[in-house]
Amino acid sequence: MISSLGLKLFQKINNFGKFIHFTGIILKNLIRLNVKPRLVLNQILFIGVHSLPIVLFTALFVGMAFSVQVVKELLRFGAPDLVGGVVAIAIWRELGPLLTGVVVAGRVGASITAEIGSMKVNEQVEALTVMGQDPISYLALPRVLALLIFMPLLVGAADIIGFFGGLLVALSTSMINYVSFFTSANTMLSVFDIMSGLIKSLFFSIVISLIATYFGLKVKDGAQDVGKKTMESVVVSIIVIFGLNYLLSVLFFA
Amino acid sequence: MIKIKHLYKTFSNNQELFQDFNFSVEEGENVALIGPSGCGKSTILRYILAMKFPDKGDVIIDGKNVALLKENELSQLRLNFGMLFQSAALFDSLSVEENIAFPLIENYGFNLSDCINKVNYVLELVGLEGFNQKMPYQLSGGQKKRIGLARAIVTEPKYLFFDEPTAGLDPITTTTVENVIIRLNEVLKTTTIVVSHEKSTILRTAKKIFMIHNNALLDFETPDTISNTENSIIKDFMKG
Repeated sequence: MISSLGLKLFQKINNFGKFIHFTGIILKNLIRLNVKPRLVLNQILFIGVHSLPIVLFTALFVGMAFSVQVVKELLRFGAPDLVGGVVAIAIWRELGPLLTGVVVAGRVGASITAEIGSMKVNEQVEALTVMGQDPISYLALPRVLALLIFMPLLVGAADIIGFFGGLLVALSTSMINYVSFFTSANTMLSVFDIMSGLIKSLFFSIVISLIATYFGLKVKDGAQDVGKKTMESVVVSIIVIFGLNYLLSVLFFA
Repeated sequence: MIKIKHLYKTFSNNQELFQDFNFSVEEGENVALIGPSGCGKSTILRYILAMKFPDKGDVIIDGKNVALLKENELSQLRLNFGMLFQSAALFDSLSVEENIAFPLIENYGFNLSDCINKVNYVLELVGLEGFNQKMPYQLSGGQKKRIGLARAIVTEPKYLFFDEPTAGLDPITTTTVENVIIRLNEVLKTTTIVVSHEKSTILRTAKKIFMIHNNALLDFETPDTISNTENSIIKDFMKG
C-alpha cells in the first residue's frame, strides 16, 4: 500500500513537472510572439465574444442577489447610503473576476480541453506534427493569448453589469435613490479596486487556458478519456482559481 | 533513404516490442509492412516521423539521425513527409479545400486562392473533383481517406506513409483507395510505406512486403513470391 501511495505521489509530481515544462514552452513562444495572429483572432471570437452573454447574465443575477442581501442588512442598521459602495467593492474586487473566472473555466476551459482532446483521439494533433506544425504553438498558444486578451474585457463587462444589477435591486426600495447609490460607490470604490479585479482576471485567464490546453493534449485513450480529462481540467481550474483569488486578495488588500 | 538500425523498445511492463529491429527503404521503393495487431507496424511509422522515439537504436532519414535533430530541424524534415492516417485526420472545422491546402498555407505562406489550382489537381488525382466546399462531416469514410490522401500529396512529399489506408472500408471503396495509391505511385514516383492488414491492399500497392514477427523483421517477399512462400509464418498470415 505504501509503495502504491508512493507511486501515485511520484506520478503527481511527475505530472506537475510536465505541466511546468509545458508552461515554460508556452511562455517561451509567447515572449517570442511565435504565433499566427489569424489563429488568435479566431479564438478571440470563439472564446471571448461567444462567452459574453453567459458572463453578463451570471454577473447581472449575482449583482442583484448580492444587492438583495446588502440592502436588507444595511437598512436594518440604518446605513442605506453605504449600499452602493458595498455592492461596488464586492463586485469589482471579488465577485466580478471570480465568477467570470468560474464561468469561463466551465464554458471555455471545458470546450478547449474537449476540442483538443478529440483532435488527439482522431489523430489530428499527429497530423499537425507531420505537416510541420508544432501543436503547442498551433493549438495551445493562440488560445492562451486569446484568453489573456479577452478575459479582462469580460471581467470589465461583468463588473459593470453586476453593478447595474445591484443598482436595480437597490432602487426598488424606497430608502435608496440613484444619487445616493452612485455617490456611495464613487466615495468607496478606488481605481485600485478596479485594477485589482482586472489583474486577477489576467492570472485567471492564464490558469484556465494553460490547464485546459495541457489536459487536452494529455488525452490518450478515446472518448472516455476526453470526458475524463475535460472534467479534470474544469475541476482543477476552478480549485486553482479560488485558491489564487484568495492569495491575490491577501496580496492586494490584507 | 530510410534506415532503421538496431532498434529496441520495451514497455514499462517489460513486454518487448522490438529487439534489434533493422529495416531500410531505398528511394522510390513501394514497401508494405504487415504483421498481427500490436506487433508495432504503426509504431515504426511514428519512429520514422519522429513522433515517438525508441529506447535504443537509430532512425536515419536521408543521412540524418532523427533523434539528434532539433525541433525546428525536425519540422523541416517533416516537410518531406506525407501521411495518410487510419482515421484520415481531417480538421473538422475546415472545408475539404482548406484541409488540402493546409500544409501549403501554414508552411509556405500561400493564400487559399494561390494554391487552388494545386488543390483541384490533387482532388482530380483522388477522383473527388468538385468536393472543394464540402465539410468533413459530409463525407463517407472512403471519401475522407481520399481527401486525407490528397492532403498528404499536395506538397509533393518525398516520402508517403499510409497507416491502414483501407481499414474499415467496404470492398468497392477499398479498391478505389487502392487504385488511387497505385496511380499516385505511378504518377509521383514517391517512396511509400504502407502499413496494412488487408491482403489486397498489400499485394496491390507494394512491391516489397516485410512482415514483423516476434519483435523483428522477416525476409521480404514480393507480391509474386508471397503466395508461394516457404515461410510458414507469412503463409499462415496471408491465409488469414
